[in-house]
Amino acid sequence: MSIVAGWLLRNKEAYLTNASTARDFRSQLRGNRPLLLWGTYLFILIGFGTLFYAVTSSEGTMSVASLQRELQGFYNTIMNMLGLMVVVVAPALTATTIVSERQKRSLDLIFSAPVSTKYYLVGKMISSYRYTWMLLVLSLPVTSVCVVLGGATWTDVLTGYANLSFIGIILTSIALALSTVAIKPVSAIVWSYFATFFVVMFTWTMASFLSFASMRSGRELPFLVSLSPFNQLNAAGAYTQIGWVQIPNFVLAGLTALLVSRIMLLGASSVLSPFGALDTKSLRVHGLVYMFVVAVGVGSALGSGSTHILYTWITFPLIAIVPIITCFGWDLEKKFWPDGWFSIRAAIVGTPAGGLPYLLGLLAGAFLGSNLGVGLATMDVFPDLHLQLCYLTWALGLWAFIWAIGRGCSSLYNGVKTARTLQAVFFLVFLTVPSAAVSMIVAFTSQPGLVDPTPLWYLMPLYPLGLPLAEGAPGALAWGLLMLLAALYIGRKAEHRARNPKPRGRK
Amino acid sequence: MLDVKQLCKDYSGLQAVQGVSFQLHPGDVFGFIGSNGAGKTTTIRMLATLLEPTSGTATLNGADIQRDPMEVRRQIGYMPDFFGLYDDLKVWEYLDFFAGIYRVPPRERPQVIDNVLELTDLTVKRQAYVQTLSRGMQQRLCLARCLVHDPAMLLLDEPASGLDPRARAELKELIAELGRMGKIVIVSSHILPELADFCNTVGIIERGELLAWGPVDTIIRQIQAHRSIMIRMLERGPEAAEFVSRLPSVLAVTPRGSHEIQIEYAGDLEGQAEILATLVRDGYRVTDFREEQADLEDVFLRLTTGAVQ
Ligand SMILES: Nc1ncnc2c1ncn2[C@@H]1O[C@H](COP(=O)(O)OP(=O)(O)O)[C@@H](O)[C@H]1O
Ligand SMILES: [Mg+2]
Repeated sequence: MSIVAGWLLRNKEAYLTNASTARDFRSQLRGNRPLLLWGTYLFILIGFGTLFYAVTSSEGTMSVASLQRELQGFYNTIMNMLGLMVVVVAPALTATTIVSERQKRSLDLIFSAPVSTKYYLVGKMISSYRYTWMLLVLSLPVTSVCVVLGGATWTDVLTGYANLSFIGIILTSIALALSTVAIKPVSAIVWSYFATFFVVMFTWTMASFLSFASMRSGRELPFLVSLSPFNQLNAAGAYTQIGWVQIPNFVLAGLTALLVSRIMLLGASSVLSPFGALDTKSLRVHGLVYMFVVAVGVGSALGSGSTHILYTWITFPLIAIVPIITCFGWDLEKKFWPDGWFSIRAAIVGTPAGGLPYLLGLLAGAFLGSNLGVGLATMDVFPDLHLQLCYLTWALGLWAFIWAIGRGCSSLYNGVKTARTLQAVFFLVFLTVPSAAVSMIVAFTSQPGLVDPTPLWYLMPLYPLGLPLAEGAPGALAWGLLMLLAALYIGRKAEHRARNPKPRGRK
Repeated sequence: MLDVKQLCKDYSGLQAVQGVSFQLHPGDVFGFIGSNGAGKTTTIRMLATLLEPTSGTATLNGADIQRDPMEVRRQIGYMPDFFGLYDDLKVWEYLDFFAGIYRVPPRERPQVIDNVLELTDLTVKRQAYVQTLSRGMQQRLCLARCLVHDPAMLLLDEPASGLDPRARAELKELIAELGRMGKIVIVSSHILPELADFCNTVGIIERGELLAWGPVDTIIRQIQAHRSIMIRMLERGPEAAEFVSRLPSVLAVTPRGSHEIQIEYAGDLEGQAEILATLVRDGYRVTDFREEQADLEDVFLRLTTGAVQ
């Protein structure tokens, strides 16, 4: 009982009576500036609405159907403007919050008080998100005009607002996480917009791609469509069929927002926490679970015949975290000091020795998850297992190789940051850039074999479309084993150097 | 009480703090003295739970800085060697924020804020913006911030740096008052006279090592194995020097002009009184006979080599 009560109290403190939020609120609402901003904002929205009204009413006679279409177009434009507002405002408000406190050096004041990183981050998240949300709510009069005139229904408007709020949560949490990593406010802003751009492009591409792909019955659409800020007209009223249940997409979108913001906050918290913190462990476990869940989702959406490329592709975004989990160096907080090359415990504690086992865990999650997803969708358990294992070997080899490169760079330089950058650059040169070439070859070759991709064969497992599956498997296996061997060799060298470091300057 | 045991901190190869140990009790005002780069800030940040010690521990009233940091944080007020103020707030809002951070119940906050403003003499600035305060006032506001939760220990890192003499005097008075209130106060400084008059305990740190610590007079006596006595008389100075040097336990005699001699004496107080009695008996007309107090400055200079890392 007292455990529950304590938990409730802690959550109440973090979410409802957060001191950080109260303080930000005071400075956000100070003086005339907010009034001026909101006035201008409303003025633009309403002015746009009036303009539209003037244009349509001056057309004179107009059929009911075309008027309907016009109104819908108006509603769509308003929603897209709101989407744009969220995309522009959310990162701008959030990206500087923590990095500017770090520059002011006020973080020390806060963390010498009995404040958990979670309390602090939740407070920051609420105060910047609330502003975005206020702007959304302020636009309600304009959108309700659409309902009154008949361009949309209340359900459309409300789900639209819900979805935009969820997008806001996702973007805010990502910007917050980047803000804890950044050293300068400017770089935090640049990185946040970069990430926002990536998220918007991703959901947008998914939205246009998937809504074509699944022109099935009724309004069944993949829920990712709801998370595109510029697609709310399509997303309204859509649902996803899981088994016999129709789940409204905004529910799934909300769930996704919750999960994304959770892992982002954990990530931010882990950055701010010292060595061995509970938040880091929680983050690691969450990462494994999320990988599995995403793999199940993608597997069930795309179905069989493609399982092996599923987990080769799913693991691609790992490059965002691999430099952080694999490289080592002598930092101040002991977080990334070299502590061996393979330790399962370290995989959860979050030290460099855990890099390889954690990567293996993620790959296992992707492999099992995507197969479970396919199994759920097609009732076919582990289709073509022997082929899959070849591709799995390739994925193992690839990530072990990238791991070894990171370890190698770490052992050559003292700075963990330099090693991370080098590893990321290597990934770019080794994989991303040639990938573009291979996808061109695959896309423009109607007959496989017309263009010889031999030099880039190590990439072929990512593009089995240009090659029959079974034919690609031996190559995948061979390249996988080759990369594994290279990884072992480089990894061993790096480990040797890490254990016998050259005397490092000073004293 | 605060119990620091063998605290160490390595910065990738550089040992910033090496095995620092000391104990402090409520009411102790501890002057933490060392030149720049000696390791004061590093030690204080470890005590404030902001830095993980490489090894060693410290406990405050039973709470360990590593195992139970939240409990330690509840009991300390930390004032860094920079301000870290929020410019866009008013003085009372700034204090209200920290009262919230320290979980002071909302009902009690106005009273608490009044109290700390009163203590730090900032009541008139209640409604002023933080950025409009003078440096001395900002420093006092920082101190006020550390006091909203009535901590058992205060960690003040170079609080007097950059203040004018008047502000400095006010701050010293305030710190002494906090000691009288029964708090443990740790004040660091690289300027010795700053601390000398209001600390009752000192620690001297050099290159990460605590060379000596304890009550001010003990430290001075420790360093100074023999007393230095100054004697002034109306006439016959050189003659007296000759005479005194034959007395027991007198190590050295330095004549200072024709009226004054200084002696280094290794005996006890009885013997010291005997010297005076003998001199008077032999007809020397003594006008002044006093023991010269070595001050903290001397101690510091004797202990440290002056080397900076
Ligand atoms: N973040 C850091 N990284 C590396 N060395 C540091 C760091 N902070 C302090 N040091 C070193 O530790 C030593 C002690 O510093 P510090 O505790 O700040 O000294 P003080 O406060 O007594 O002037 C100095 O030699 C300093 O260069
Ligand atoms: Mg210092």
